[in-house]
Amino acid sequence: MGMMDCGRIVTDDTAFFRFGPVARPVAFVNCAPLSQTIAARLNGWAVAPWPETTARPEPVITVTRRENDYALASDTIKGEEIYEGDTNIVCAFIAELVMAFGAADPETLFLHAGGAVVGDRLVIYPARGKTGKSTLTAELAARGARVFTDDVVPVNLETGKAMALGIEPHLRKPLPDALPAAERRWIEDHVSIANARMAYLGLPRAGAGALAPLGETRRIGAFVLLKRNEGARPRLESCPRVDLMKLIIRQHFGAARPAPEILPRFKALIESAPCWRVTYSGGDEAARLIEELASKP
Amino acid sequence: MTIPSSETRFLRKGGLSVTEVEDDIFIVIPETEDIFHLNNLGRALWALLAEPSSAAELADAVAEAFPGEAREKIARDIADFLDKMTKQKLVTAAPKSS
Repeated sequence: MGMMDCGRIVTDDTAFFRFGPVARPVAFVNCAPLSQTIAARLNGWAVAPWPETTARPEPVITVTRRENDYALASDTIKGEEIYEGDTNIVCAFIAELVMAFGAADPETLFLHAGGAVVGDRLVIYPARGKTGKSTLTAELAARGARVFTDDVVPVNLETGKAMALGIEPHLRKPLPDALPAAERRWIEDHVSIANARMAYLGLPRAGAGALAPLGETRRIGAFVLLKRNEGARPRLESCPRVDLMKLIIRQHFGAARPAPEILPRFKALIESAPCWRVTYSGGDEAARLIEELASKP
Repeated sequence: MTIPSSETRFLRKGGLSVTEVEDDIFIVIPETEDIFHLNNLGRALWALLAEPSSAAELADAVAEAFPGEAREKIARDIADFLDKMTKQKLVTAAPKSS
């Protein structure tokens, strides 16, 4: 017999988790506690260790803790991406989680949009980055609206209903100077995790300013196209649906059907609710104008 | 831009998918999934191109709808429209016999 090998062999510690309805596991390598940091940013997602007794497919997302950063790999990332700090990896992870969530369903259109429930009406404002939609969502929450989404909203093209993803809004920092003091204070009081460049908002799970949970569905009550125009007179006006159609064509993903089939469905969607344009220059103008929609036909 | 000869007649291509939204249309080429948008004037020209039409005939129709516009400008705009539509494979030169 040879000499007994009693040295400790250091191996990666991989924990596999199930994230809500996502069919495949998520792997955390040397960073299992990060799963809880992420889970705390979600509402209505059952996050639990992947059951030992269940067959385990290849992970759809893998996060690996390295000495000074995290490596993120997924079905949609070529190779891996590197992120420093918990807030950055949480943000990148959640984007991949949304992609994994949306991968399975060809009937679902994913729209880059913010959305909030004003009165009884779900108002969806499609827009991409730097239009201020996340700040607007936070402002609406501060004023008591139910937050449906701040970034992406799935819409079922069969039913025309939107579904909440139950993800905390995240804002770019610093907050705009023109933000009214009361809303700024409310937002700052609700920061859950943050770094120098962004902050997540830990919204209440019930009551005023609550975050709708994953799976809450609502018929869209109005579409709003945001137009930030420095110095412009703030106004709410009816908007041609053609403008909304062009925006949706540019700003969607998912709905994996041929374009000739998709366009008539987009048309049905945009005709399902009135379309408005909100022109604003800052402050709480956009939030106030969107609140007016509660009493519009 | 290629100026079409006065004898060339144009026809919209078949097999395209068209969705109407208000006064405009969105056209999809199924093979490439490219999507094009035409405003109300483009849509009116598209309708005329259901039958073989020359640039002059299209310009006549536009001039009738917009009597205040200079005929020369209309002719330039039509030539530009046909050039773009041909390059995007939405419109083709009609066979001579048409």
